[in-house]
Amino acid sequence: MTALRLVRALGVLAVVLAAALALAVALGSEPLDVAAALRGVHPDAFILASRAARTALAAIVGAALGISGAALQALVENPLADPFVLGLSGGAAIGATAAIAAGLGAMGLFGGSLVGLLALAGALAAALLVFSLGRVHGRLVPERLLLVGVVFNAFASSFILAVQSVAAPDRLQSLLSWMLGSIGYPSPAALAAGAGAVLAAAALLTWRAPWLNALCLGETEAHSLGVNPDRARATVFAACAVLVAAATSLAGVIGFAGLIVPHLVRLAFGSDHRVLVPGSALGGAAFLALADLGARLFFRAAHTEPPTGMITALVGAPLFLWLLVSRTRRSER
Amino acid sequence: MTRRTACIAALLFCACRRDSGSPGETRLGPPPHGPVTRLVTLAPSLTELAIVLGAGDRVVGVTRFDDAPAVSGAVRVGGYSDPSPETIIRLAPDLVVCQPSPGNRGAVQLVADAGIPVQVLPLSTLADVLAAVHALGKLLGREDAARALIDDIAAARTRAREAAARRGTAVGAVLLVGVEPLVAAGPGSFGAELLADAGARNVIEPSAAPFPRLSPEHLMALDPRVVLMAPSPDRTLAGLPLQIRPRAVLLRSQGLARPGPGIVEALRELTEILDAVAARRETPP
Repeated sequence: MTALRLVRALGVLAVVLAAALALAVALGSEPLDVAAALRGVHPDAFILASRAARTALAAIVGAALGISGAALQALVENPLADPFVLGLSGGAAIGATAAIAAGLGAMGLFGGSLVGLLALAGALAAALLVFSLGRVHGRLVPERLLLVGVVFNAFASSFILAVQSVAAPDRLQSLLSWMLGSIGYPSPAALAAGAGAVLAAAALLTWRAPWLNALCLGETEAHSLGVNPDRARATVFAACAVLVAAATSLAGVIGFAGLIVPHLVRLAFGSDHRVLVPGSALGGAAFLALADLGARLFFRAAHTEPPTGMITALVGAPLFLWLLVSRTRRSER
Repeated sequence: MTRRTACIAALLFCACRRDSGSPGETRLGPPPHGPVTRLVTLAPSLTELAIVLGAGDRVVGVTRFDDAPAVSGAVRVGGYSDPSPETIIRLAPDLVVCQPSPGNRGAVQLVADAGIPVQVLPLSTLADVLAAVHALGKLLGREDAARALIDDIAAARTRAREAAARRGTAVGAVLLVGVEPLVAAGPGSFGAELLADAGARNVIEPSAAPFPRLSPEHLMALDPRVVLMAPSPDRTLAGLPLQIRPRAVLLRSQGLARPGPGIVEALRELTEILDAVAARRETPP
């Protein structure tokens, strides 16, 4: 891919993201006079500021899920891989479930929620475990990594069910909301910490995107291109662990964004990871900002707001099937 | 403990803080300025309290679960655990009252951050309910009505205890607040306190949680004389083990499900049921 095409592709995605962010801030459960808000008129100014923070959170989480999805699909050489297949969501869920069931849902620590911080710890612990068990003779083996992740997620699901069956009924709503993934109104400290972690890991993966191209060609070809596959896989896995841990600690387990967005970007702009990785970050941010807007708008008549993860699954599942069918038809022609 | 460990512990202690909506921290945002004329309630129990205190016409926002006719025209601001902060802020209330919940914590804090007074009123125990009646009466300038309601509740409790003393026998009972799964009112819960006032012996073990889940077998092993089922919209025994159904009574009073003014009616109904069950026991076959 030429530099011009790369810039053009990322430019298109940046415009899509800008439009999505503008829509997500301008629209919501209540009408907003943006001009009055910009003049500082209360309560429009306050609503605008809180919506902007919420939309920023959606964008950060979406970018983290999109970029890690693209990288993990290359890492395990499997188009079905998403940020949660490697057990990271399971680890985060164990941490968050234990915190909510123990009644720590209202506690805060260093500006973030204790639930989020325990989810972060759980995801990083799971990443370490999966990384350790996914290696043979010091080398990370993609198939083994995938198997360990799937088995660990199954264990985590059972653990969560066990905790749910003994948890107090008044905590079940919080558990369900966290498990489905919700975008809330973050504190500035939580937003800044999340943005910092995601930006650092996303920059690393974007910088190392040529490694992902090499990994997709196979180990021998990667070696011949001067890429050490073991080192590349370990680096990519660590960056993805940070991204997914940050995303889940901020918003819970939001499915499909990390699966569907890389496929859409690949369909539109090709498989070159130099565009796929940053493109999935931009696309993921736009996708989740719009999904959160959907959660705020589509259920207004019922006076409720479903978890954003429910919207991503409702939209993502049919979209993924459509992509699958249309790709099969195209290859048959 | 080494100095380093002590420093880390002190740092964590300082960094840890209980956020909004937790027991012990009852007000968020600024204090209300002047008399409250625009009230938003985030629980049907609190709405009913406001209505009984004579402030139903001041309620401008309620949850989607509120069904009191007096607030049928009020704006729906979401649910108990998922209120919409934007809708509440747009209503420009003088006061928001809510129950503490991890689910509504973020939204309620945002409302307080917008400069709207928020009063957090737990309703987990009878003492909580009485404290909430007193606090709400004061906030709404309806202290006399609040005092009258507190007196009514105290009188209803006295009547229930007197009836229990006349009955003489403590009927073994369980109060189910959920059926699928079976969830009972355990020790320390609001429902268990009402059972005790009405002279029932709660068969749930004293060591259980406030709302323990029961397996059907465990419920049968507890062998309650009467299974009291909190009111539900479908009013059905489906989900209850077949062997237990003959002992089940569907309660009419909302007072057991909604801690508030309904306590008076709930105690009266509980007394009637327990009198009837005790009478059946004494009647020879």
